[in-house]
Amino acid sequence: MFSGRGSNTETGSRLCAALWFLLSALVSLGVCLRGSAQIDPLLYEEQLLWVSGGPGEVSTYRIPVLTFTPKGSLLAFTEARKGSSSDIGAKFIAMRRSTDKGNTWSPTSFIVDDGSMMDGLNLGSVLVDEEVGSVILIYSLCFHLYQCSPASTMMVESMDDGLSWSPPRNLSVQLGVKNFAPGPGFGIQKKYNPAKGRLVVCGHGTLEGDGVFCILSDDHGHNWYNGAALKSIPYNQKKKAQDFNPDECQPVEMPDGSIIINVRNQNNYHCRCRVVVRSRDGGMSLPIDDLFFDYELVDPAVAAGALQKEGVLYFTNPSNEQHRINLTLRWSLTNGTSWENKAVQIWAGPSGYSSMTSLDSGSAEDRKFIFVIYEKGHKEYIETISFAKMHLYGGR
Amino acid sequence: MQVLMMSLPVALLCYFLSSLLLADAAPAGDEVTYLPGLQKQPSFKQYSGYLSVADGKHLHYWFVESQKNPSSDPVVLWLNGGPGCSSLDGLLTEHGPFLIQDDGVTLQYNPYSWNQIANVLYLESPAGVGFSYSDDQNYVTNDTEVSMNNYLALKEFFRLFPEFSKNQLFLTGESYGGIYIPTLAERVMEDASLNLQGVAVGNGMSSYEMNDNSLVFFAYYHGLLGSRLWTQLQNFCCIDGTCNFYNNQNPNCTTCLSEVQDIVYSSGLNMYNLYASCPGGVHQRFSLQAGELVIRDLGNSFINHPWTKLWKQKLQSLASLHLSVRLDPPCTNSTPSSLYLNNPYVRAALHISPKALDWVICSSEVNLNYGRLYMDVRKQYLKLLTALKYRVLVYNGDVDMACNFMGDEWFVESLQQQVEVQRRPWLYDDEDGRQVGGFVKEFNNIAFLTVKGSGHMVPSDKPIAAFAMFSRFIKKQPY
Repeated sequence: MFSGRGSNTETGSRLCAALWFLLSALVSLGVCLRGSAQIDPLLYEEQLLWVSGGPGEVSTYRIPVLTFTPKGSLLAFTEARKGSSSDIGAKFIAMRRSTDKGNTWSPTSFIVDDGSMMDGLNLGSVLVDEEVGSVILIYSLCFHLYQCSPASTMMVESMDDGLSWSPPRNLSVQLGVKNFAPGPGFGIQKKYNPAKGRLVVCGHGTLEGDGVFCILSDDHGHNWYNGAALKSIPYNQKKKAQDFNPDECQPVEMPDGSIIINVRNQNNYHCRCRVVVRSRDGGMSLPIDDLFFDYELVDPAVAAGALQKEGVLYFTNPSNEQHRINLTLRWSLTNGTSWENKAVQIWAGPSGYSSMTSLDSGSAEDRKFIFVIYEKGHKEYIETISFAKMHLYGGR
Repeated sequence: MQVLMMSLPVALLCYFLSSLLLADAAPAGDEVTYLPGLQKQPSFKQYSGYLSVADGKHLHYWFVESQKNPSSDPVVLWLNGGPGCSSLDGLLTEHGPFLIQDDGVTLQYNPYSWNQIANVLYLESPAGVGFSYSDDQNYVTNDTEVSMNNYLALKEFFRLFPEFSKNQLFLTGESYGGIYIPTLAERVMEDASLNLQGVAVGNGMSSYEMNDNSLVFFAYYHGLLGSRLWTQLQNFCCIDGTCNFYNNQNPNCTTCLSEVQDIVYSSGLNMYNLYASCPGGVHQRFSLQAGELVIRDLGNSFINHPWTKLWKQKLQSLASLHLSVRLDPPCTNSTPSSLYLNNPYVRAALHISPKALDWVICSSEVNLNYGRLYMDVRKQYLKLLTALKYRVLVYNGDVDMACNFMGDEWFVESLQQQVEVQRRPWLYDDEDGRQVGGFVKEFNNIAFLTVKGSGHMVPSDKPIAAFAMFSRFIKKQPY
């Protein structure tokens, strides 16, 4: 795949860039680990971006995702479920945009409208192609095959920092019509080799035909093909409790160029905790050899957030074996092999899906923060979508 | 004797029981039991009669119960505009359960009737309009008196129909209803016994100034004016890009504007739908037909212009000379409705008072003597919005020139409410699949929505889109 794509000089320059990135990653790792800059996250600011029943008379806002943009803006997306809180039903994709690092946000835009579909759209993975400056949003249509067929994997793209969006494009022409629910969270563009520049979007299938599946593009999202698959057992068959059923997932590229995918353990196989799996070939495969269960990441089976910034791996989820409560931020200085004891509670009450991003300009300001978006409520976690700005150095 | 002794308590009991029953039942005498023109009588109940308000004024109403669940569906008041035009035009040609056919005899069921999901009250207001009348036959009125009498009529309606008083209430209207509805809402929101939930105004008059100013832009950019006239308008009516087409004192500007008016109102265009033909062909703004003076101008545009003032004086002097004056909205064929409603069997079926005049679509007497007291309804909208509990919809067919979309869009923007959802297309499904209905911009508790390709009478021009919009509005669903 890789050799067929570019010339030798391009490959050479990529190698150089990869070396540079490795070096800079090592340097920043060094910075982080120095005593003066101890990671000590603090919930610095928080605001509600959406309240269910709020803008546009939408019944429920759910499934938030968040991304940076090449121009240093933040884009927040969420499903705007028109008539009920159900996963099926007609929806908009709602978006808000911040050009001041999350301090203020534009009014909501509905960037996709599925009309009155019985089984409408579902989010979704957002990814940024920094090589061409685009923001791509992948979502599904008719995922549950409820009064519709077949399921489709859809894509919209913005070339202007999220201000305007292309008409939806149906990727099923290239990928086939297997039900694929991207994310929810972000997809990645490979920054390091192997397959530097590749777009990798991972998601899951139906509960029966479940598993982690990745779709890949080596030409900035023009053409997509199916990559890695980690199938559930028994595959395409009715599951029982405690079956192996990897589900919603969040990929993260590590400084060594491998992709770590943090996965929802739908049927609590082996533990009530997260499944972690790794791809060392740019999302082409997810070998069982590299799969482990992270007992420290206790989880009620939910979509969680993961983010790698300056060599530190961050993780958010409602940290509880049974209930979606207690949204917690953890961090690892060892690429996820262990987690620091001093976790930070973001919200004690009901909290559901979460997603993270950060601005990586390298400026002092941008180095200080990561951003969390999550489902938050008092009685139920579906009440609001909240944006939290986490100061990594204790607010100092 | 004994029989009498026995029957008196029974009679009293009966009277007592029946008055109890009446307390939560519609007025049986007003029920329309047989309506001519229908192949099959409707399955929903309907009532027609009079709501008596102050000073011997009797407003005719026609109430059609919901086809779905009358007891729990909302009550929606509908008012057509004018001033001086009848809301039965809304019933028979826009969104009523049955629509009048060209023969003036037949009614056809309307699958996109607003009473599919709501109890709709059509009120002929003020007195002098349609079948509504005043004992003293004085039909000089103004905005304040009208909003008060509309309010009293609503109270009277709920006195007659107490079983609907707990239902959600929406106030809706069109055109000059843009003044009627918010000024009525201002009174209704003060009355806790009325369960007001929201108001909707279609192609409404919200501000004379914005309506005039936007119309000139609308006309130019829809290809009606030409570059010579546009350049003159820019030179004589505008300073630094800000144009005053509303009350400009520059005589060169007013000359240009009279040319604009001639093109928009007198060249034969259908001002209610730029892209529709004009029923009856090209007419003048007024004409003499069989000794009758026919006026085709409701007097809502460019009211501050010397030409308009001269024009109004001329009309009033002509009207005083002629025994009979008729006010026909331009390019509107009201003959079928008039034929139907003046049929004696129909009048009897609708319990029309012998004191009522012949039905005409608009009353020239009401219109020509009407006191326009509000130049805009900004204050009323802000009052509604400040209450934080009413849902407001301002919708416009976007090819209407009577109350063009841009003027109302400017008006809604000028309320400076917080944007909740940015302007976007809204969708609905018709026989050709999913369609763009128009555009919508949602502010806190108020939405501005266009209906693409529709003229002034949105439910007539785009019935499916209009019903989708109406349904989402009253059900608090996303547009």
